[in-house]
Order: sequence, then structure tokens, then C-alpha cells
Amino acid sequence: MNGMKGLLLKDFYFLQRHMRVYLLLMLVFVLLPGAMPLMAVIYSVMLPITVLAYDDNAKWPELAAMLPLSTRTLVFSKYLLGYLLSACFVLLAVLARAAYQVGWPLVTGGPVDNDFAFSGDFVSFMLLIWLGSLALLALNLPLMFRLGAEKGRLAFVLTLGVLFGISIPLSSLPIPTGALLPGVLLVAVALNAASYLISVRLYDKRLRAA
Amino acid sequence: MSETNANAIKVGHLTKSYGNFTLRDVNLCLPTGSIMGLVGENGAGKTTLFKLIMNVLERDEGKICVLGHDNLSPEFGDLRNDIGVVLSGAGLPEYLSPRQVNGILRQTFRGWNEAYFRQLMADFKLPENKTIKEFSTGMKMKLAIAAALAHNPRLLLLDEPTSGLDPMTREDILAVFNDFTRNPANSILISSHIVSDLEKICDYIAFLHEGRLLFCEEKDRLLEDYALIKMPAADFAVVPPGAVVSLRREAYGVEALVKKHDINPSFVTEHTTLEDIILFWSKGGGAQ
Repeated sequence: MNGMKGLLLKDFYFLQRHMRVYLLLMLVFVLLPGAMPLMAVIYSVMLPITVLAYDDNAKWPELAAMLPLSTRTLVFSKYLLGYLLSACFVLLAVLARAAYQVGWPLVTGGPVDNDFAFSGDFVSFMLLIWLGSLALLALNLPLMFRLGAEKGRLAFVLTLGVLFGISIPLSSLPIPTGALLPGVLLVAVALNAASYLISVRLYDKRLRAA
Repeated sequence: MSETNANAIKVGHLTKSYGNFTLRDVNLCLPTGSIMGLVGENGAGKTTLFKLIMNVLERDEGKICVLGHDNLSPEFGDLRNDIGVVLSGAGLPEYLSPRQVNGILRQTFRGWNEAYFRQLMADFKLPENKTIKEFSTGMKMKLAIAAALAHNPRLLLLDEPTSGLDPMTREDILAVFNDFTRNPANSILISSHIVSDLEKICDYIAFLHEGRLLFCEEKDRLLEDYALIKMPAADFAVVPPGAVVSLRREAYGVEALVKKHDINPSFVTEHTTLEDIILFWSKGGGAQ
């Protein structure tokens, strides 16, 4: 996809300029005990939406549509940004736990606290959260591309609420542990594939009707 | 010269409606190597025409060829590498600096010339590390123009590039456009409310009024073909009605824009400016 690197670079410049405090806060979440790092991963998939909001205000989409960039590239750049950021925070959370595992005994002389310990369960949990946040991204980006980022943000909060609402009864279902991760992976991949195709159509329609 | 090379833009029977607005049956040709000025009041359809030329908007009817290719053809996506665009009111995000713009557009345009972009930054006296947010209106426009030029396009589409700028900055920018068309393969379609700017640089003038193209003519021919006459209302009856484009009745008499060749040479006429022609046509000229 021609121009993808340039679009990602533009979005990273935005994060560097405007989202430093937000990113720092997410790094703090990564270092917190228990399930708190999940907040960093969920917040990270909101970042493509924030970039979209800024760019909409500057009417960047009108100019971008005239550059040698296809609608597919413009749309996929936002998905890719979400994938990369959320993967980074999952990786950081896992690395933080590994660092606690190694560093804690050296500093305190005792075994690592359970809430900070590195374990296979924690890695599986973070992967699950990552896939769940990608599903959230897939549900929201078509709305952003159709409604614009301002209205789309409200939709994001609503979707997040619905997703949490669904996850509570789902967690009580007797799903075998081994089937959970592949199952969520399948759902996340299917949702993202469908979401991307819908986003391309909706964004194209929005641009061509403007 | 083949059809492919003869016209940078060829628009035929172009129609687009949305809401209460209709761009109706527009026909125009921008010969390669020329500058065409697009004049029209706010809402006349200038930006719509730019978007249609770039195939960003869906048309209802008509055909558009850009640099020899139908803009609905699959090749047009790649052809955008040969077109530079400056859009009024839409631009580069303000959190970027020129240095970052260079980094982004280097990855976007096939022919991006980093050295030329840097040279333009220096010529325009634009600091490379300040954000666009810190720039004045003139500086923002200069950056947009540099970004449109640095990939060595063959065609520039400029929507109101001089509006809101001081005369010195406008002069600098117009000089850049003139330099660009020294290469006979390069062409410009430029819209502006400042008719005097267009009179300075354009070879052709197209006048859009309420979605209709009233004329699209060589500038020199327009200035040669039209004249102003001022006379008492009682004497005006002898002027052939067919020669009058439009007239204005004032306290001392009548002022009219006339077709010079359709009136008796004995009439005393005054030289007309492009602005006079546009103003009179907007009040009474017929469609193309």
C-alpha cells in the first residue's frame, strides 16, 4: 500500500506532539499490579480515533483524498495504527512483569508479589485483552469513518459499555480455557476483516458525497 | 501535438447536483503549458470543479480528461503523482513542522524532491522546525505551495492560493507560478477572487457563475473583444442591443460593457479590465 509509511509517520508525529501525557499515563498503567495493564491496551485503541478527530478538524481528509493515496490505504492506516499501538502496550506489560520477576528478589530479597508476577496466565490474559481491544477497534472504526470522529467518539464509549456488558455473562459460561484464546482470535480476525471492508465503503461514500 | 499532450485538462458536459446547487454542463480546456484562472463568487462551484477534476466527488454526467487520461480510469490514481494541489481551507495538520511534512510526503509522492523542498523552504523563509500552528496565513500558504511543487508535478490545481495574503506575499507566490510554467509541459488551473492577480499571470480566464460557465476565453482576447462605453441615457438607444453584454444606469447616464466588434467604430470606448468584464458579465451575460 503506497504511502502507508507516510500516513503512520504523520500519526506518530501527532502522538508525539499532543499525546505525551496520555502515553505516559498508559505507561504507568503498564507498571501497575493485577489486571490494571489492560487499561493501557484498551486506551491504546482509542488513539487512532483521537488522531481522526484532529485531522477532521484540519480538513486533512479533503487534501489526503487528492494525494496519490487510495481510500484503502487511508482507512487501513488507522487500523494498523491501532494494531501497532495496542501490541506495543501488550509487549510492554509482559516485559514489565518479566522485569518485576527478575528485579523484585534482587531489590527486596524476597519472592515477587503475586500481583506483579510474570506467568503464563498473565501472558494469556494480556493476549485476550489485546484481541478484545482489536474487536473494539473493529466495531468502532466504521462508525468513525461514517459519522466523523466527534460523533464516533460517543459511539466508542457506548460500544465499550456494551462489550463489557456482554463479557460479564460470557465469562460465567463453561468455555474450555484452551478454546478461549483461539475463539477470541477468530472473532477478532473476522470482525476486523469485515470492519475494514465496511470502513472502506463508508469512507469512500463520505468523501465522494462531501 | 497529440490529443494526449494538447490539453492538461479537458472537461466535457460536466454536471453535478447536490442540495440546492447544480454545476451545469461545464465545458473547458486548459491547454498544456498555460495558466487558466477560474473566477466566480463564493458558492459558484469552483471548489466543486477542482474536486471533480481530481475524481474525489462523484459526477452526475460528463467526461474529464487530466494529463491525457480519463480521470475515471485506473491509471488516474498513479497520475496523482503528477498533480500538485492547494485547497482553500483544507491542508496539512497544524501539529506538523515543515521538516515532518517533508518526511511524510517523501513517502507519499513518487517523485518527491527533498532538495527542492528544502530550497523552497529557504526561498520562502520558512523555519523547518516550527509547527504549522505557529505560522502566519501567508507562511501556511507558502508551505502548502511548496508541498504541491516539490514532487515536480506537471499540473497544479490551486484553489484560492492568494486569498487573505498581503500584496508582497501574493507577488512572491505569483512569481513562483510564473516560474513553474516556464516549462512548457507544466500547466496551472488557479481560482481566485482577486481578479487582478489572475490578470497578471493567466493565459485563459474561465468564469463560473451560479454553477454555469459563462465563458472560457483567452485573456488577451477578452481584453481585446470587450470595451466600456459611457454615454447619456438618451444616446444609448443607438447602441445595437446585441452588442451589449450588460449595462449599469447611473445618474449621469449609462455605462455598458459591449462587444467591441459589434458596435460602430465611431463610438468612443474605454479600455476595460478583466475585473470590469467579470462584474458586467455576472450581472447580465448569458451562458456559454
